[in-house]
Amino acid sequence: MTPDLAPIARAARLARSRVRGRAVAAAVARVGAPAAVVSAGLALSLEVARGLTGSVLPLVLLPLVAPVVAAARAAARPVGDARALKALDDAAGLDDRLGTALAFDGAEGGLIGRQRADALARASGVEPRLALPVVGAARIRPALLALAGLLAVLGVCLSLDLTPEAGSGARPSPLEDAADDLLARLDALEAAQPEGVRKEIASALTDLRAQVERIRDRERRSRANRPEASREQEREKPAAAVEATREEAPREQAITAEQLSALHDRLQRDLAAAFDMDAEKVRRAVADAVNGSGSAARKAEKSFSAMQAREIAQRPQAMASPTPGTQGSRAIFGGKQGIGVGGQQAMAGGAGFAPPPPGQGPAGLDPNSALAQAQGRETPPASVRGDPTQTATRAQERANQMIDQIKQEYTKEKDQFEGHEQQHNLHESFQQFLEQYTFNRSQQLADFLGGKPEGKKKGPQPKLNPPPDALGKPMADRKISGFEEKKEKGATSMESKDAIDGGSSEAMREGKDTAPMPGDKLAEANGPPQAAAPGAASAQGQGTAKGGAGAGRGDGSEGGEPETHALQGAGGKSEIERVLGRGAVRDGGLTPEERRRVFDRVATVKVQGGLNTGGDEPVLGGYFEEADRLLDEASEELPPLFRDYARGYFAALSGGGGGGETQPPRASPASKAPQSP
Amino acid sequence: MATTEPMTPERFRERFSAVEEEIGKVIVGNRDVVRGVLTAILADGNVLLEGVPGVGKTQIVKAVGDALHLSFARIQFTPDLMPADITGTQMVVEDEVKGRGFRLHKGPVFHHVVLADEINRATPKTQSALLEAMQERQVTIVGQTHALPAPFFVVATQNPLEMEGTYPLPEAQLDRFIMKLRVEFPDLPQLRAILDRTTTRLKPHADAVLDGETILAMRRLVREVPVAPVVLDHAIRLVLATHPQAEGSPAIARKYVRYGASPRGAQALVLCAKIRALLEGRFNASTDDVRAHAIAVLRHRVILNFEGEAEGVDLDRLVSDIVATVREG
Repeated sequence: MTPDLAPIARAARLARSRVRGRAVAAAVARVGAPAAVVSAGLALSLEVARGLTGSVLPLVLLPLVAPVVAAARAAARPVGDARALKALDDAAGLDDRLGTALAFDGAEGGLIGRQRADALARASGVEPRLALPVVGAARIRPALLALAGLLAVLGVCLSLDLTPEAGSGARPSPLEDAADDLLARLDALEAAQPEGVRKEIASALTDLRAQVERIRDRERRSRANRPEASREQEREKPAAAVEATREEAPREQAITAEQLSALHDRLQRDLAAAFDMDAEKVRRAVADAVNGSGSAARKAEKSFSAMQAREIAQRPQAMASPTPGTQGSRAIFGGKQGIGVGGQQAMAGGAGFAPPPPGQGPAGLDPNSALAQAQGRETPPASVRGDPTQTATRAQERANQMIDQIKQEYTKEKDQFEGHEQQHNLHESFQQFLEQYTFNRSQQLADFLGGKPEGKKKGPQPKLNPPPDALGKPMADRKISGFEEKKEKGATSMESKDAIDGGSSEAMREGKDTAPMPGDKLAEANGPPQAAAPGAASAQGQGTAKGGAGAGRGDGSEGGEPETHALQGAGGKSEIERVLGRGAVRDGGLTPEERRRVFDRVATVKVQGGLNTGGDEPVLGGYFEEADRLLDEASEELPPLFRDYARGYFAALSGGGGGGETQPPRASPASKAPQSP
Repeated sequence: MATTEPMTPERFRERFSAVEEEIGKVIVGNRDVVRGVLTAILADGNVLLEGVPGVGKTQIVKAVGDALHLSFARIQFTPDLMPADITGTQMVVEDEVKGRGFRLHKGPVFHHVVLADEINRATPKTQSALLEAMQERQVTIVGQTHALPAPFFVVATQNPLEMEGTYPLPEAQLDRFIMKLRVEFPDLPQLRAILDRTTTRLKPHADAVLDGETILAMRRLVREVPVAPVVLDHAIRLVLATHPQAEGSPAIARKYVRYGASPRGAQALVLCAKIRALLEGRFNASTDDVRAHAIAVLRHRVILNFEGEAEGVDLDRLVSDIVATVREG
């Protein structure tokens, strides 16, 4: 470089740094303002939505990375002398004098010398710092203003949100932690099981996950809305009120947290046992966890059991009192004339309805009617009491009444918790859970008993529509088959004979009562539930009782099931009558095959007739033992609510008090058994 | 008139101003047109004047011819004008001593300043007779090449409105004009001044203040003006911006331009920039000098495509927009 161009070279160096600085400033100005606006918008959105906290501050400041990157790129871009001097020439109005002089450095001739001299003369009066201001450019001001605005927005938002309420709002609540922990443990449980077990427990785990996630999500939404509400309350309330609100929050949460905690503890305990046990244990653990989730669910069981217990407790009183109901029971169960086939046929017919025996007046009532009178309820008129369809309808109504009563109890609890938005949300969530739980349990109950509700409805069902049958086909089949098994194992012909003609009188003498069984229970086992009931009633009603048990009222024309016809011999006589006509039941005149058939039929009729069949303790005793055994086997798959109920139900049928941990219901829920009026 | 004084930038400016002043005695207004014509002369180029009839196109050229101490010839282009009418021809002459023989009868192209009035009225064949003269500064007649006097330049005029019976100049001939200048209609004061000067007994006349030698000296000085690479790059980028096929060309060029300026356009830009720099008192050309002549230099070198023709795109506006898209530096 020619020595006399040193001033131009120095100006080029200075201009280079200034140009780089201006490039950085221009990049920041170009990208910074939009980024700051986006950042501010993000901050405001978060503030409005959930409250701006320190944890989300990096997200808010993320758009500001763009101007930083742009500035870095501008700073890294090389700046040559020509570009620097061009900028300096333009800024100083030198019309490329400096750039031309430097470009023709070392050249001679023509106008170059004069041009160089001219450039040097002009360069001496140029100060790159003044000619090329970095920050003074007007275009940087919008970016600076936007940045200042962003800082102001952040300051305001953070000053509002860096409060204890906001801080707690950003953290998961204990309820959410417990839910997450529970979900993690469920995952571990499922992963630790063999494939077969995993399939078995998949449904239960899915249900449980859905419940837990629902509660957790509700809590999360509630927590997200909390800072806004708390700030509004804080503005309106004095400091003491705010403190009181803060104290209420954990307590309100504790209601649901307590429920979930109980669930968590129970599942944890069961899981610990399940990991070392077989698949059945695991399945039981999960089922119990599902069935036992929530104190309200347990309340539902207690409420149900309490209702059963009340009825059971009232029933002996009704039976013991000299009421027409007692006489009716005697007329049904203890009528001497009814001993034997006639009484059984009377019981088999009419789905449990028995008209008063001759000579005992018209006031004969079945135990349920007596119970209804004892409880002050209106007894249906006699003209409709024997109709099995109406009986089933009343049973359904009664089931609905019981469910309504349960729901009313829940509603009372719910009313206690109303008044606070968060509590309301939590309770509503739990209420949905309970309704779903109740529906599921009822559905399982109905399924198990044979009648399926119409369709598989999702979600809570306010009214359960129970099946008209209290016993379904599968259970009936299992009972009969179990009974056959028992018979094959060692039941003697004498036991069978006693079963035929001795049970009713025994039951009558002992004053035992059994829960009514629907007349269409076993009919359904052999045919469609709706059609079988009247059909069975019709067929069995033809067996007019010799002992005055009365004819069945069944008037269905669609009956005539094969099993029922099997009881009828040629010439209009039933098979039992035909056998008795040979006079050989007690005398051992029957062949083993005939005795077995009679034995099975009688047992079937017993089950069909329920209480109305009277005694036959040996026969029914074996039957109910078998039922207990089957129930024990199935109890692993059953919820406690139904398990206890079913055990008590069969215990009531058998006339004893055992079979269940709870007091067996003498009068089963109407949803399970149509009652004799 | 002729002087042995070396040409300096200062003298360049002084001579140029003197010519402008003399022309200004005759021509009212149109200083840019006059400066453009003089710039084209000093850049060793030819210039095309375009304007409606009566605005003084021919008068400007005549005034320039008067101000320059150079021979001047006017050719009125008509459809029946033949190339020989421009270049000249061999004629049979009889000499008492030498006897009968051919002698070159030079056409009007053998003058320093040639006014091709309404050049677009001649046939393309006749128009092309000027091609060699304008670019090579020579003509070929019956196989013999004849050099034209120096300095030589052509000033052509054409009427943009009257298109019937005209033959638009081919692109090759248009490219040989260093500039295309538009002679605008005078405004009210200018028109009054025109009336004053042309309707009285006074007849303004431009004196010759610049001879051929001086013009050639000025042309040499122009070529000594240094141009920084950044300025050259800028001129190149301007030319490339007019090409729709070029990388980074503006969208408006891609939309309306069929073909852009030729390298002659870049040469013209730099030469004109140098003259402007000298006239501005500088010893180097700048990007501003380049941009100052961009429209005059590029407007006739940009060829519109069908869409541009259909939409009636104004070339001046188009070139101005293209130039605006090219950043300095």
